Amino acid sequence: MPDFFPWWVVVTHFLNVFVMLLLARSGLEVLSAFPKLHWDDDCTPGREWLRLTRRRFSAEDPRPWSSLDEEEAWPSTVALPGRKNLGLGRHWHFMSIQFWIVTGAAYIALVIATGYWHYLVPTSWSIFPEAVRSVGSYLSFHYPPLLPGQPFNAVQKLSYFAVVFLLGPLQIATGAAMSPAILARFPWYARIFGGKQAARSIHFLGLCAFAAFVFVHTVMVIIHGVPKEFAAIVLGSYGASHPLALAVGLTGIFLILVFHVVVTWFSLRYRRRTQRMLGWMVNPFERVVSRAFTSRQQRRPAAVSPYHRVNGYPPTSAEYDALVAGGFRDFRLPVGGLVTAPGRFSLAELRDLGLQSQVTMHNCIQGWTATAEWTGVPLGALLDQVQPMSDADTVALYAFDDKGETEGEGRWGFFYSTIPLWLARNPQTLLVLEMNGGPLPVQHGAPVRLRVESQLGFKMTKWVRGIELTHGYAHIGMGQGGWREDQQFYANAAGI
Amino acid sequence: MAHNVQAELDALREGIYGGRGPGIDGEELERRTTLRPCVGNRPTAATREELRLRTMRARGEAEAAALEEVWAAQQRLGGGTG
Repeated sequence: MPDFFPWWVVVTHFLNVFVMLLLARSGLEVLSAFPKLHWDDDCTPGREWLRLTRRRFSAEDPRPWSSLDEEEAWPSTVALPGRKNLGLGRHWHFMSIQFWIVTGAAYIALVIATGYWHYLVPTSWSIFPEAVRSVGSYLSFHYPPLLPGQPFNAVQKLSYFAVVFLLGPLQIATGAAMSPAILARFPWYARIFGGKQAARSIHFLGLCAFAAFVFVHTVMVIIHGVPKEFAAIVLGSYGASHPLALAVGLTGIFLILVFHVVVTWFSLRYRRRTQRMLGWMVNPFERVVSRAFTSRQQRRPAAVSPYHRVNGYPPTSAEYDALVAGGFRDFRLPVGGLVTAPGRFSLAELRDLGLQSQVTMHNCIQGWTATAEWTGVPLGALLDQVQPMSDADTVALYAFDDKGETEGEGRWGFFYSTIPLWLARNPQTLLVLEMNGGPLPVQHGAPVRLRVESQLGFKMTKWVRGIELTHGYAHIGMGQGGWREDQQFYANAAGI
Repeated sequence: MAHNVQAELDALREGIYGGRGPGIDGEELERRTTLRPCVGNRPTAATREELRLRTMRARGEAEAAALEEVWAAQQRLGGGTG
């Protein structure tokens, strides 16, 4: 039996503590944007199985409400960075997960390569009754015996196995099942878990399981004796200097806490810099996922949700009101920029380009989903009409809604978004004119909205007022690629 | 036609932030977004509830007036308005 832990166990254990705290806090930030958990992908208001907010909204609510009203501002002591910063919370989460996967992969590789797996992987069913006896020993205030020739008792070995080989991979797998790009290409993947919302629920329960494990794990360290356990955890040997182990271990914990305080403050104080710094690591990951998966959704008509949330309120301008009053007969969509044949298109002229219908699931960045049938013109068909020039690589969509008027919270300016030209030409990228067999409702973006099925909802501009083909997007708005990217620090690629 | 379309799109692009686009970034944005809620580019104390009401007004004065009565009644009874 070894009386020590190899150096790589010590190092990966520390990195795990460091990264998992980042993951948990940033995950709570993401959860705070839609602090409700559902089992079914319709997310019918009032049918959540867990509601971590006092705010209640229903499909029959007489008040106008949008999904943004469901957001919570959780404190920075809990969430990273806290205070309704979903964009930065996602950046922290997706940056941390890359480190966690790398750390975990290195750990697993070394566990296998060095034979350490003998201490973690049960090889006999007898581990279960032995684990029950170990629990009984703890409950009767006795130390259970270690397994013969091993550093752990049976319940330790079983719980470490479950956390390393089951819970960790489950969290990664359910996390991937929330990516709109993956779900658009492989709709069956989420069904393994019972749907995207079930995956989201399991992901949350996984966090709870990790928290429970860490709590019990910590209590056990205290019961067994902090100086002795720290000697093994920090210096790799029970025989190492206890004072030195305590000093090193407590310094490590202190540094982790200081790091969290500093990055939380920095993220709130310098949000644009945080977006850029983390984006340097996260954006390539998002772009690869977005580019790799083309939407191939065709859900059953029966899957259409009875209630479809909306993120955001409709435009309030007199110009838009006049268009609504006139049934959008006077609406003309200007399409220009780096094209050889710019034009202004009426709704009838858009329809003449050929309509296409698709039943797809909407993935809001907040976390909710809903399914609808969308009918519209493939954006590719419109692009063929206006003939993009060779240096055009971006499609910018300008909207009617002044977010300062309809959203508040210190945000301002007219909504816009950009997507890459290759994404605009995907077969399921539509300029939508109808929803669920009827005219596109005002609250869902009438007269024209975008559908980009492999992306999160914030890329699907509603109330489209004009389309411009450009080279890049640095010259538009604040130069981040969209209004949410400008003002809420979202990533420009939205495939995760 | 081409000229008109591009002029229209230029106006939309430049009007996103009232003609102050790429120049407003970084610290300036962070300063602005820590201000009180804004309406358009004008600082105001508008709350989400007031914005909801404004949205309702845009949809129909009569409906909004009816809802105002309901909310007022709720508040008199001690109920919240969300």
